[in-house]
Amino acid sequence: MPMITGELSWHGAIVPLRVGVSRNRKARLEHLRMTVPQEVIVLAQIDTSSHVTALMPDALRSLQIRPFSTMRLRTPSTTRDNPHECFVYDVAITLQSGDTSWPVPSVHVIQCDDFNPDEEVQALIGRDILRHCVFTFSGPHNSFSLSF
Amino acid sequence: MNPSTTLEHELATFRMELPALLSDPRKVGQFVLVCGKMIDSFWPTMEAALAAGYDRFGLEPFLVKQVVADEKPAYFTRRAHPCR
Repeated sequence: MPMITGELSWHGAIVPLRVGVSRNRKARLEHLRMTVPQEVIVLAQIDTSSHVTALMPDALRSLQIRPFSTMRLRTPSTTRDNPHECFVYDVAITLQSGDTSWPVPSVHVIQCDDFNPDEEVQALIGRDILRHCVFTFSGPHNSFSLSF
Repeated sequence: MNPSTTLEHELATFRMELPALLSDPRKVGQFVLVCGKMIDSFWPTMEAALAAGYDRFGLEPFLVKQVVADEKPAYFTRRAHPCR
């Protein structure tokens, strides 16, 4: 399995992520001879507590995509019986380890702008992606690995 | 384009039709594809409904939702944008 390894930072385990339009949308754009938006590269925090993967609104805006669904979501700021309803977007993501890439052609993400400007993170990888991976967090060695 | 484009018509259609859909056991658990004020079709998986949405409506807005009485909420560790 390809593996990404790194040191744990103040924000935990951070990996680079390439984000583009989903395979279905790319095919549709190409069929219509329209320009396919360029992938964007973001730094993503691995978050084993979150069900879903999330991106900063800027990343979604640059891909020129609309939501295709909604999701009920509990967050630290919602009450137990009153979850938010949030939009869901269809994107493609790629994890990269050296010369090996792992593309996921359709991932259903939400948007989140709850990242501080001085934070190195612009995205969050949730268990929807992690369920395909092996993630090791080594506190004593201040390191992590992500195999996919 | 604003990524928060609202799916206003599609969501209103889905909410209006949901009680009737739930009364039909063949529809419960299926994924419904909605475009504008029209229920288009039903699919066994989210992926199938999404692919059908791109095939039928191209780049126009469309909505995919599962026909369930009580959608289980997901958990997310940061503040997220509510859509309404």
